[in-house]
Amino acid sequence: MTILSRDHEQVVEELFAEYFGKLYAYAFSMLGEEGMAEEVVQNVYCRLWEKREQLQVHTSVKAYLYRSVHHECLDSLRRRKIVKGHRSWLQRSGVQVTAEAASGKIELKELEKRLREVLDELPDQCRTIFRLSRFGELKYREIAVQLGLSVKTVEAQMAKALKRLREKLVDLL
Amino acid sequence: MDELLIKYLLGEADPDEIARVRDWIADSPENARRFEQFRGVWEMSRGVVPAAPDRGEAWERMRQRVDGGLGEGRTWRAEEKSEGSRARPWQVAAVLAGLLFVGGAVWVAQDTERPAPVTAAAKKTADASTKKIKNRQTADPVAASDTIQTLFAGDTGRTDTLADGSIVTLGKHSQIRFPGDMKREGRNLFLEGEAFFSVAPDPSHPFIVRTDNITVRVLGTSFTIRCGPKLTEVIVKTGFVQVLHDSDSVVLKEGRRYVVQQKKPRIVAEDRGHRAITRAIIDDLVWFRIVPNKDSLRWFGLDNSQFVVDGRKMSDSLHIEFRSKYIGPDGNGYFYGSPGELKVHGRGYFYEKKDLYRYPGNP
Repeated sequence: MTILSRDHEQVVEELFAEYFGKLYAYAFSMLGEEGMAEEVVQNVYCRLWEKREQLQVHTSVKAYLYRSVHHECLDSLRRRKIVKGHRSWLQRSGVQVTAEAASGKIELKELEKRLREVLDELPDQCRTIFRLSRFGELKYREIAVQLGLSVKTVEAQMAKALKRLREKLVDLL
Repeated sequence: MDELLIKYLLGEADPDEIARVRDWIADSPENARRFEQFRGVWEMSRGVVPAAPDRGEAWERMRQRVDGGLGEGRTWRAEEKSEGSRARPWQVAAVLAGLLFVGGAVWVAQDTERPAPVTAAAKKTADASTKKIKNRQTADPVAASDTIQTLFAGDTGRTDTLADGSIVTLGKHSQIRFPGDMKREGRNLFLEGEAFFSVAPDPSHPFIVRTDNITVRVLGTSFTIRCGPKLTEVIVKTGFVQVLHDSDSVVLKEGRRYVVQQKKPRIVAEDRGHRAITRAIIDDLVWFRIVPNKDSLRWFGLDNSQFVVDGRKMSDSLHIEFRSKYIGPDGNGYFYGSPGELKVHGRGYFYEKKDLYRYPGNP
């Protein structure tokens, strides 16, 4: 990643300006929580910052950022699952568990709830492609490179996702 | 055909495919309706994700984290809703009036009757054209940009086209600030005073207008905002919009209204049926911007350059496709009035709002 040797701070700032919003949206679509989404994106940029001089990235910076956020989200979800499991064990054991902080709660309105349900019902690959396109704002070609798929497959999966959304939500349109 | 419609919608279609899709959509109201449904779910799906935190503030948080030695693996959280635009992004304080037309056009005013005075510095250069300034310390989110452009209006107001193709009409003694490079830094604007925006559609780059106490996020659709001292309401005409008020974030669909009265928000359904549609059309025809669809243009024997309303040339971007926008029960669009009652402008006949009100059965 040669551009990082130019002027490290400026380059990271430019990358932040360019991709922060899209990466945040993509992370939120995976995590469903604003604070966590920002934290995940910040983690990735911090890592980029801290290792900026020795970092070796063999693909484009953009692809690196998206892939890093994706993996960071998966880690975050795994950690959350462990915490949830622990909480439910405590509850089953009769231990009083305090409510989560209000800031962590997600209050989804009916429409958003329906949408999220439909998205959750999509097959894994289809959902990932949809998220990268809709929230990560990547083009078909970029998604194909990111996931190691053909552009045709991405196109077919996007069509599948949108057809499913239309079919399930047409009564709201 | 659905695959092709989706490619077109996502900007992935090649020129031949674009032509095919456009022909297909124009072929029948059913086709247009099907495309609108795909467009609707696509726009609506964006609403699942809230607006990103202000980028400038997020960058500062990251710098503090790095400078403070909070490295990878340390616990860290954004201070949500602590200050600035994230803290109280949608406090509506009774100072906004608005309209939005097809493709997204919104009128935002801090006080429609008494426009907020611009700063002394702004007045000094009130009639100057666009001015570039360097400012990274001011409170508004646009200040995160390296180069801020400021557009001032003097005693008469002014109309300009922004770099993204959106048209802004500033009220007198009003100003907007926006990033010098909107493509790279986002379509974020900060407004003082009043302005009418005709927003160029670009689903991947939301158009966001902030004032001191309210933010409007355009998702590429049409809606009306009305704000007064006692009441603020957002009425969705077509598609979907995201409304944020205090900590509330709501995606509103067509025919719904978001009303804030005495600081209490509620969502109500618009009346259904002909009367509601009529009212929606009339709302769209506020001001002098009365726009026929392409069929009407053809019928009048006009082309776009000859299309004049109240002495003003209308552009392509202001054309409203009434027929597809307001589809009637039999699949046809709604049309109102008759040429005999209408004013003649140049070679064409055009409706005015009062003509529509005069029409029997209209509210």
